[in-house]
Amino acid sequence: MQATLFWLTGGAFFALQLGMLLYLLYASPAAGLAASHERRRRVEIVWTLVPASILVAVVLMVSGFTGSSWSRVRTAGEAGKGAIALHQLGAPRVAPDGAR
Amino acid sequence: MQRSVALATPASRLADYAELTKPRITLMVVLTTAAGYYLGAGGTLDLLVLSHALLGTGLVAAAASALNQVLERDSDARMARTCARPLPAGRLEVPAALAFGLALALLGAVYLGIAVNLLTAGLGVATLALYVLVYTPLKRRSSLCTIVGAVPGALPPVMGWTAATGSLSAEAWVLFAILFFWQLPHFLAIAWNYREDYERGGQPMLSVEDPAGGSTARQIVLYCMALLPVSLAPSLIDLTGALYFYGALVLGIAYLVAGVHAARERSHTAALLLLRVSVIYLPALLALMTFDKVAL
Repeated sequence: MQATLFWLTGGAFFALQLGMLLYLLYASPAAGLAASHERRRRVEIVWTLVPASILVAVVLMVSGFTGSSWSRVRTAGEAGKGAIALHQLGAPRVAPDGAR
Repeated sequence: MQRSVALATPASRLADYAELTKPRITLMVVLTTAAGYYLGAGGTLDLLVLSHALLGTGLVAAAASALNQVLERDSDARMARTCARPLPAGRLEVPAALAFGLALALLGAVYLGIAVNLLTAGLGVATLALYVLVYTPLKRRSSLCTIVGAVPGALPPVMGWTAATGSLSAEAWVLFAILFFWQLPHFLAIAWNYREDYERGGQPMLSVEDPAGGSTARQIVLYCMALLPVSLAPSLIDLTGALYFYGALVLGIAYLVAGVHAARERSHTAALLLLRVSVIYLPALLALMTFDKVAL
């Protein structure tokens, strides 16, 4: 359930972000605009891309896809839990073991 | 009317130095560091290391604020919101404020390195450098400064985490991402309400570059939306439990609703409401995190 909600909200974000990018790239007026307007549009495209890149990085880290020691889930033994929760939609959450 | 520096009493001078450190921001930095430390600490809490980490981080944050005010004294003097600060109002001399800021920076970094660990000290130095040397000059050039400024703003809980664990890990970056995303709608609401002031100060915030408010509105909603999944992530990596997860979901939806309202209305009142929701959101989220922390 938690993983489903995570993906739903994450999916909603990416849908919104894609919509905004398409708007900024194609729907917002560009031709004939002053250089300042064009620059402003490019700046907003950067604004729009930043959260997606951070969200992707977070997803990769909590999913266990990143290998470096500074981005791995701390307790290596339990690292799979996040990955399990994220990869197996609807699967029961792995309960924390007694050692935790 | 400007007070003469020479006529200032010791008490008022002390108050001016305190104001130079932006006490409310420093307090917020200390609180988020404490939350990061608590979440990173295992079953036992080392209060001595925690107090060292809080003091060192507080010193670095105070230094960043002081040095920022030294660099921005001219633009601060042109803005109604900031013209009464000690430097533009002439209550403190620039060399004294600069020496004060540099001393705090040195003291904070060395203190963190000796009393906590080198990784936390390094993060402190990075926070300071990003804030003073990158964010502050960028404020006069591009609205992207807000994004750059959100990075040092999001590092304190990471410093708390590294103070407790001595290393970086995914959990620390999740805390970073939460703080990062939280700041953007918060600051965009401020930038919207003070857009004329920022324009006078020569700072091209998003709301200054686009006075109609379309860009600010879109980015408020986008960053509120990005915060929602990221704020749920701590429970997916067993840093927090189910209570936190659903609490964060409710808080995140409330923040998003306030963001959408501000985006639709584009009014002072709606931006103020978003600002108020943002200052309730963060302490509530951190309280939920610490309350529902999964003990290691």
